[in-house]
Amino acid sequence: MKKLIIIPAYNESENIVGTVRDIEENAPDFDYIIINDCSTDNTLEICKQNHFNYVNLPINLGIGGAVQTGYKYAREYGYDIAVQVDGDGQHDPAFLQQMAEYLEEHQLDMVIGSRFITNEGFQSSALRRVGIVYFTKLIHLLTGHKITDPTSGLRLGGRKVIELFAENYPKDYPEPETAVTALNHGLKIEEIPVVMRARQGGVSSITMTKSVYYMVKVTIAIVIERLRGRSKAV
Amino acid sequence: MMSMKLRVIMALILLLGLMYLVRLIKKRKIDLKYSIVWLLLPIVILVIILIPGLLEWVAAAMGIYDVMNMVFFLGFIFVIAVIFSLTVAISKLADSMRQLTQKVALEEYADRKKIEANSERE
Repeated sequence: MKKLIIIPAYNESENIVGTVRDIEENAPDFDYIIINDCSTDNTLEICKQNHFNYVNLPINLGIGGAVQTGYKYAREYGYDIAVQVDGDGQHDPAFLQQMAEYLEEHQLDMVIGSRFITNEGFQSSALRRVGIVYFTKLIHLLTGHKITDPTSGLRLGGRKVIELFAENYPKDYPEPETAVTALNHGLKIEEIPVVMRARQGGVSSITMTKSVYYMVKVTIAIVIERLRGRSKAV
Repeated sequence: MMSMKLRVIMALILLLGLMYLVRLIKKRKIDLKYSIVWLLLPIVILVIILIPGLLEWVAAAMGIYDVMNMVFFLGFIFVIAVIFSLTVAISKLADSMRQLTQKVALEEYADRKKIEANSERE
């Protein structure tokens, strides 16, 4: 089993070394690939100096385009499992092995690390949790599946997911939408409880003003995604 | 009704615009695909200017009482259609650019690894 960790990095010079060391220590079975999304700080220089394994995007593509590059990499180099770990240190690599084993044992296509099964660790702000519950309800309404943490970036996928995401991946705020895409394609998704940390540096990409755009965009994306699924089924 | 003077001035401006447009197309600065709509617009306006009473006739045929209302209405629809086609074009461009960027980055990675492997062998 070849297992890959995708690390999208945009101006993560403060965190990137810590993230990689964390992975080497706590997820030794995994390879990793850093996708430097045309950072304007010295993220690229740090990658070079430390001889990290990185792909360098010549143009800033945003989070969706960067992560998709990782899935394309996974497809090209024959990985069986790929998982995205953000470069800001929110995801604990110690859970990855557990997630990979769970995926294999239960013959799943995707395992999502959820903060809201045992409700341990960093729980996000109250306002954001309202948004998260809304997406859980919306996805449940449209697909009949319950995903307690649809905005979790910690998602581990098998070959089918790698193929699917290498071909099609949203440009921004991809998490809830791609869960619906995967469900539409009849893929099996389950969640396991994880503990997330508060971000260790940098700022969240989702500010107050952007959160309105986030809610509207992701809602439309999920509904459209569902329509795609239906038309395909007919 | 437009005065003769206004008709002549407008026709001249339109002809100048048309010449400029053709020059850009000749220099391949505008894609012919996107310029067709801009070629048609001044031609249509020229026809309207040169044939007196045409606008009034069209407005009556469409059941619009005021000629100017019809002009604004059709102009608005035209502008919306052009902007929409631009959105489609930009989406296509952005998608092509994303795929190209990813391909370039992955090929650069493969080349770098090849060079590293070679230098290790030496």
